[in-house]
Amino acid sequence: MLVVGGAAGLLNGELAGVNTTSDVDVLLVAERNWDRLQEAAAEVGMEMNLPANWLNNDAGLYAESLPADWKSRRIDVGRFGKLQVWAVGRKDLIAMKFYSHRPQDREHLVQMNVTSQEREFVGRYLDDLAGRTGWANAGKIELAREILKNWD
Amino acid sequence: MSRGKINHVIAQWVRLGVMFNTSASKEEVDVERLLLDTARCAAANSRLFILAVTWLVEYGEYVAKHRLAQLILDELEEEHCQTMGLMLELAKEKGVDDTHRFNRAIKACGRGIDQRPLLDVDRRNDFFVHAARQNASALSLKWGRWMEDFALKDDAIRPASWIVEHNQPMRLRADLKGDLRASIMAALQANSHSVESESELARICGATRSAIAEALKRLEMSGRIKLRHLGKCLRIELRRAA
Repeated sequence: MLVVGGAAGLLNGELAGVNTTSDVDVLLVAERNWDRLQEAAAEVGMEMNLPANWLNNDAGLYAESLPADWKSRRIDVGRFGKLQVWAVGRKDLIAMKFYSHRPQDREHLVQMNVTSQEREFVGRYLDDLAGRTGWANAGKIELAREILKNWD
Repeated sequence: MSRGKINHVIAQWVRLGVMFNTSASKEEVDVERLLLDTARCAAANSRLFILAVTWLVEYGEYVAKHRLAQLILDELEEEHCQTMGLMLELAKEKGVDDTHRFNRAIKACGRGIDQRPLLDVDRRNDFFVHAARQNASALSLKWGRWMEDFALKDDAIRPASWIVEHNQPMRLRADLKGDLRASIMAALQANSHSVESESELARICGATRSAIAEALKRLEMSGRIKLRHLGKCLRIELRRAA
């Protein structure tokens, strides 16, 4: 299971607790495993009085936005029984946050003190993403490029 | 607002069931004053603003509406009234029932007097200011605090059962549905459990004396308060079990 979003930032020490929430976005869980994982999450949620959808794969819609070679940068969070948990690495988190560029993403980017090298990486990532996804996300990618260009 | 103050505000929201990854406040939360503080520091943390709106949509009936309106008039600085107005009107707009919720408090916020991005992150330079203006929702333009529309974040709010388990006064607030009686109870709790006169209570709650008298009668009948006649004055006290 790959953790993305704010939870990944918290797990790899890039973001503070006051800037993240306890819901967890995950990616890359096979469908048959997702059902089992959801059952386990429901059990934990019941025990800890959490909202029903505290663990969700809504981010799965954006799985195509993972940067190339993300596997080489992922962080090993740990193995819990049969469950192996990874979190996306810093550069990939930054890239995905530029791509999403919601207000909370931009705040996270400020807190992460993005370097010029990392911005170059994001630039290449957006070019690659535009090539991979075509017109479908052209407007969103273009705005992400503008934000990147004006980031200081 | 300082980082420490913002963290304190967030810790209070955690106690009310908002799942920030930090410890809950150990003190009981004054819900209406927390809303004022949230308006004061929303610019620094968009997630705080979005989660406060989500919480209000879900649990707005925990809020003592009369008291909130009066606190806005008495204590909230003019520059933050627009943020408060936007927060409350978003909660009203995104809620599915009771469209009259928060009307009194929204009115107390006045109207937008200046225009700017709501969030600090959108004031970084001209590009971001311009983008914030372009992407702003109609409601945020109306209040002069630009912010794009957003989806409620209900996957980061705990269920009501957790909230009442950790916040005893919320049981009563839920029963009273945030009406004038809830404001009276909240005012008594915030004033060392007593208020010296009916007129003082009317001022604190922003209600007429006749409305206060009627609400006091019902609260006394349900055993929640004690009325003590001291000469010409009527002292109102919270009963310990209330």
